[in-house]
Amino acid sequence: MGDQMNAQQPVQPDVVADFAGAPPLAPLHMPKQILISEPGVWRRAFARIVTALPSGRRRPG
Amino acid sequence: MTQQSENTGDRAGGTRALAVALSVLAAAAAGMVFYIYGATDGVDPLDIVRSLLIFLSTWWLAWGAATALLGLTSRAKPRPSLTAPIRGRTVVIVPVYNEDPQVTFARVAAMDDSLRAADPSVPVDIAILSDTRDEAIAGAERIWFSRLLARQHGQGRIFYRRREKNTGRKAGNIEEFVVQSGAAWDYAVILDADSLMEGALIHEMIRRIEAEPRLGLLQTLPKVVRARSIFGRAMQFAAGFHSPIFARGLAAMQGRTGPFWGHNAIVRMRAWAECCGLPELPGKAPFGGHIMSHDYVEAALLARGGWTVRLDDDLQGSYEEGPENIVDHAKRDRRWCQGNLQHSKVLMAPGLKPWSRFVFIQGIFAYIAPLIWLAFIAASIAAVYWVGQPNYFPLENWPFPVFPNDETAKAVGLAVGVFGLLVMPKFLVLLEAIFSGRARSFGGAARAAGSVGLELLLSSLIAPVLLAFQSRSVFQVILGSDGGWPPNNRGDGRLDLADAWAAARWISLCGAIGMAATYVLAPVLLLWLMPVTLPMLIAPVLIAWTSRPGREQGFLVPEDADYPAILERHDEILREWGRAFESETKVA
Repeated sequence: MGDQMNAQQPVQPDVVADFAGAPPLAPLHMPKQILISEPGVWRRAFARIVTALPSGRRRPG
Repeated sequence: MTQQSENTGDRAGGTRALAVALSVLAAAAAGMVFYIYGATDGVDPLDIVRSLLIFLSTWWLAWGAATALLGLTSRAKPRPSLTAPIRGRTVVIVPVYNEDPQVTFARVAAMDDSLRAADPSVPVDIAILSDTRDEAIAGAERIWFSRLLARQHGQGRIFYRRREKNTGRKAGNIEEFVVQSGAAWDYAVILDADSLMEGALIHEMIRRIEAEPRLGLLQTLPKVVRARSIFGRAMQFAAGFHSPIFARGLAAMQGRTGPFWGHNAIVRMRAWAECCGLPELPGKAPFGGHIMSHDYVEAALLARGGWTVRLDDDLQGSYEEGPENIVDHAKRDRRWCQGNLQHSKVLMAPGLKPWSRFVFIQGIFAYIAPLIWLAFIAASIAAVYWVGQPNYFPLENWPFPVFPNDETAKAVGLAVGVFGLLVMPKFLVLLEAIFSGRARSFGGAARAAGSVGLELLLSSLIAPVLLAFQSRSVFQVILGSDGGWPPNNRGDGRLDLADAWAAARWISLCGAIGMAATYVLAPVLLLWLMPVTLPMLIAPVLIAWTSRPGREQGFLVPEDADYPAILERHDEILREWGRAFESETKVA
């Protein structure tokens, strides 16, 4: 293994890549995962109560 | 196959329960002893608060000790590996972000050489995925890529692409690659820019993942290498000497929900695509937005999808580099802190395995633990200040003093117990290393023992400085400050006193205020708190001193005497490129 690893490749003349080096196009579907739960019964009920309450910003008169 | 996995999971359940029970029991005992000690002169609210804080901090220490004990008492499991030729195609992914392209691409060349030397018939490609924002570095990346291709004859095997926008950072970078090109490969080895892996190891990882169709991710335990500074060498020694035992303990508890540390791991491309598309979290950073510590979340999602995530601690030939000074360590830790605290938002994600949730809690607790110690210190100062002398004459018309029960022995016992939980695992690991012969590769029993002692001393000295940085990070995140994604500093990392002063003068100030407050409010505690306040006071000196080059004979690790072939190869390529292109100025 060591001998093969030491079989050096010569340094090639300097050429700027023509960007044929991009990875091949081979699409794979990657769905976004659900990490936040839908609100449960209690949270939904609490949200309804809060929505139903009168806003505190009303001014008398 | 399924039955075997189920059994493995069941056994892990028992091991986990044992570890949790032991650590909770130790914590409860410590909390109770402290309560009895505090109640000697009557119970006040501060006694209850301090008992609770002792319970929490002891649990954290005991949890670490339990993991080490499991590591010491369990053996590496034989893992199934493929005997037939490898059939699947693999891509090694190297994400880069404003790195020095010469050094990074030389790593790619070294790994490519190593892979071909191990077995050229195994189909392994390499993809460099650039998220570099600096145009000058991006230009240099293109030049070095062409040199890399020419040197390795890598056309069609080695790829490079740069994203226009670095949406989602590293996780987004990999996701974009998987969505565009993932179907071309069966497996992907995910690396960091500073990772190096032996070709033979990569082939063994492919064999293992190919041998188990439900294995979604296989993590290796990377060894920290190339440390030069006192701080770096001490951390490198601790990682090389202690981590394998802790990792084995972790492996004993993992079941099918092992860890992913973000790099030096192989994943099954199909499983990854199916489970690891990370959404943005609602709300603003630091808690909302892109998931910063994506690796823990990806491991949890793979487990949720029914895939096995596993750490194989027996795999050798996996390397990474670590920070060379305390400031760089603190910068990286700031990022991890934000990432781990952000996990509080995904803690209740639907369908996660209970162990995955527990792993998130552990990660959060790791950053909250220093605050618990700080709160305990503050409560102790307050207790001395507010609670007066005990009443020696509580009985009317009784001329003789009534002394409270002497509970000093319990207090000393508790202090020894907490200290024991801190150092006992390290001493047990030392004994294991001496009796198993592992210490020989760390310079022999005497030298290994010396290194363990010195590392313990050094880590005790710098612990208050790290605690200060960590506490600041937690406060910053809680107050809504986003730390962003600063690039890692690589290189020798040496800091002079002026740099260290600029980075840590606030810690000196906190140390001075802490010392003065203790002197005024609770002078009896001044000496007791010196091990915390004094290192804080001299933090800049400690930071500058520990960033100096360490002695080559200090904190010896096996890689000092037996330099890994892949590192040697990387050095050779850098020298070769240095000679060939010496007229150029390095960009990064």
